[in-house]
Amino acid sequence: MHKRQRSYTFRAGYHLAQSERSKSLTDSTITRLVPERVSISLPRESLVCVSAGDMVRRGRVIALRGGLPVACASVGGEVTSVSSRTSLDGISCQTVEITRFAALDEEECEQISLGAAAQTERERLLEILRMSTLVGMGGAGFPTWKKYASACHVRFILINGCECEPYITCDRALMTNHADEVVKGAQLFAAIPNDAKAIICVEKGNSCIDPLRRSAEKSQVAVMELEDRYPQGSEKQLIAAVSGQELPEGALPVDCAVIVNNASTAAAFARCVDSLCAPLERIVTVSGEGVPSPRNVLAPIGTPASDLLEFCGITRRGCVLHGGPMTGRAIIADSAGITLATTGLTAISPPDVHERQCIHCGGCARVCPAQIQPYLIDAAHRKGDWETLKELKCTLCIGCGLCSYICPAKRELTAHTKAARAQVLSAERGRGA
Amino acid sequence: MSIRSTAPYIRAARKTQDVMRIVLISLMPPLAAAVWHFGWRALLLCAVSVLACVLSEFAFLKLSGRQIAIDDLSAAVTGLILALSLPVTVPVWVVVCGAIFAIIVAKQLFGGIGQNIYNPAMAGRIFIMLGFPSHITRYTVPNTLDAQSSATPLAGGEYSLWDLLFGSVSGSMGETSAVMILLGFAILFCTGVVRLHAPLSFLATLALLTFAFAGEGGLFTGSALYALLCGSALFGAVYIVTDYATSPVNGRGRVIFGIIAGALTFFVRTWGVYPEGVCIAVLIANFLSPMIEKLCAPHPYGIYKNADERAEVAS
Repeated sequence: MHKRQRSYTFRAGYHLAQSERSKSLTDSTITRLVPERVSISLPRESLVCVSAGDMVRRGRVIALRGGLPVACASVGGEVTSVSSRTSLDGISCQTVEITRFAALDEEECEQISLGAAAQTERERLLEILRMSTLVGMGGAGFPTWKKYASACHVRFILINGCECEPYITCDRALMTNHADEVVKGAQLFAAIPNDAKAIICVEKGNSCIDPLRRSAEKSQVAVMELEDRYPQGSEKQLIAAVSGQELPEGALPVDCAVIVNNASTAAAFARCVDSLCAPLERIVTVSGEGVPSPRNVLAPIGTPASDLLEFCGITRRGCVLHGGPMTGRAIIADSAGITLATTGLTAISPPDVHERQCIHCGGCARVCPAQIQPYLIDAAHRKGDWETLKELKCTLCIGCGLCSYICPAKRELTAHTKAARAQVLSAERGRGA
Repeated sequence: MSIRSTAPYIRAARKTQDVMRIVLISLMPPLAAAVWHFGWRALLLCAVSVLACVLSEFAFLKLSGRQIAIDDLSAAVTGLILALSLPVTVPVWVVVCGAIFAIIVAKQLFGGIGQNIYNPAMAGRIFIMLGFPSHITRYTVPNTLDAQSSATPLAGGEYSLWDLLFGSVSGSMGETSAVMILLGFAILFCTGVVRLHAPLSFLATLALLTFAFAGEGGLFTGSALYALLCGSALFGAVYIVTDYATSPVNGRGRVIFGIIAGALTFFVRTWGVYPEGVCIAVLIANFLSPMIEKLCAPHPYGIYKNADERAEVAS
């Protein structure tokens, strides 16, 4: 076991020097954007329950999966098309386009329809979670209710306020301006298991610590300051930082009596419970060296990326990433809309890097938070040596990008490690099934 | 390659070339000391060695049809370290032979930068030692360039501490001034190019063994300070055992590597036929390096050694 007593952080990782400068591009001011039309990308295998021409109010369920709502209309107006389009992640998926009608948009939001009558407060909260379409808003987009489906034994709810990606400040803006909502969300999450304590985890020196502490004063929620280190916001690293223990290979946090939720998810849940409305909007950081006026924008789900970019002054399109520069993906179609998991849009000029031979400096192995050895995995992957790849535990890669970042030979270590991971995992799945 | 357009989209500024440039800069203080003590011939030999290394690397890469990567400055580093590890009396053509051997045989035939098992500069030096022994064992006393033969302090001879610190002793060009080498180390350490593991464990092992077993008056009477300041121990600790390609990548591995190199240096110095053991010791340690690296591989996140420990975490 790897106990850490001195300061709260995890093994390895790196303090990104660019982080400070890039984060200061945006402050905690939140600006609202109301788009003319939204295009809502639906999860795979979902059943669309509106068709072109329908008039919908805000909050109207537009798609189901497995009998549960997975998407709601984020603006009121007319459904103008239901078609297959490329999402911001570059995947082709069912997309519902709604053109906003001001009169309809101003009408009250449709409420979440709760199924079975809930006996206890706990059941009511779980039912709201199930019917609310809420997913993890830190980037992964995992349905939140699934984390709580069998969570009676959970002891700790970690609210992840560590935003380690450079440029992205949406959670900081949220926690500074709406600390009370984050604290309330944390309390509500903690009320679902039998006996759980909520801890809001924030990096040291974050401007939201004071407001959070003030809001959390009279509650059972604790606020914990962690070292500012990339990738502190990764689930596995956060657990290691707070508990001093590493999640065993293949285990989920819930197996170790922990659940991690993003701060935005907590605030969104608090609002859901308050108003009985599905989460229809989120804060998106539009930033990067290529953005004339970077800012945190509050926009409805489905707002096209192009609208957000224009709103922040971008006229000439260069390389725009969905997410931050360390883990984000280049956007192929900027007419696609943001999702609940969109933390930011980052416009930067991609670095002009030429791969050189590995000089065996060991930088990648030193910073790797999974403590696997990217330089060896890279070499084995290029050779197609699957046995070695399995031995090297390439499946533990979390894709944080630090190895490529640090490499003086500018090798594409992250890309090769991620590819090796995907291939080994699919081979294992093929054999297991 | 489509892989180019993947995350991360920001990269640290430091490139291979920058690392090598820092190493070259850190070699300037010992070079300055060499010129000061041994005259302009020292500079001439260094220039010839660097040129020979870079040109032979260029020629090899050109002939084998590979990417010409001489702009990474690694060949220049090898050339400078090789020259500084030789006595000033070495003929120019011998230096050229050593440089060509270092680059072609020790570095490029093993796959080029980062792939070589043996430290190229030390391999070049061994090549000269074995091939042209009469030229490398004639050390001169500083500032008397008339090829007056003299032994290095390790082969006997008394020098004051002051002389050892500032380099007024006979020996190879770059290794005589402890102060200048430490200045070079400060540059390497402060820029994060080298870390403490290997140099410290190397020097500590050498000092400890010398103190314990090399004294005239029995156990624990040896002069540890003398062992560190004489010969190329310090130069080796700063510039040779810290070589990326030929030492393990992880901290624990580097400590073990340093201990092995330090112990071997002591053996060669005390019981071997050569007065100077660093280059032989380092080459043997290089040979063990891949194995040490494998044994000291880091412990991946969430991998527990046994099921009990895992169960304990899960509860």
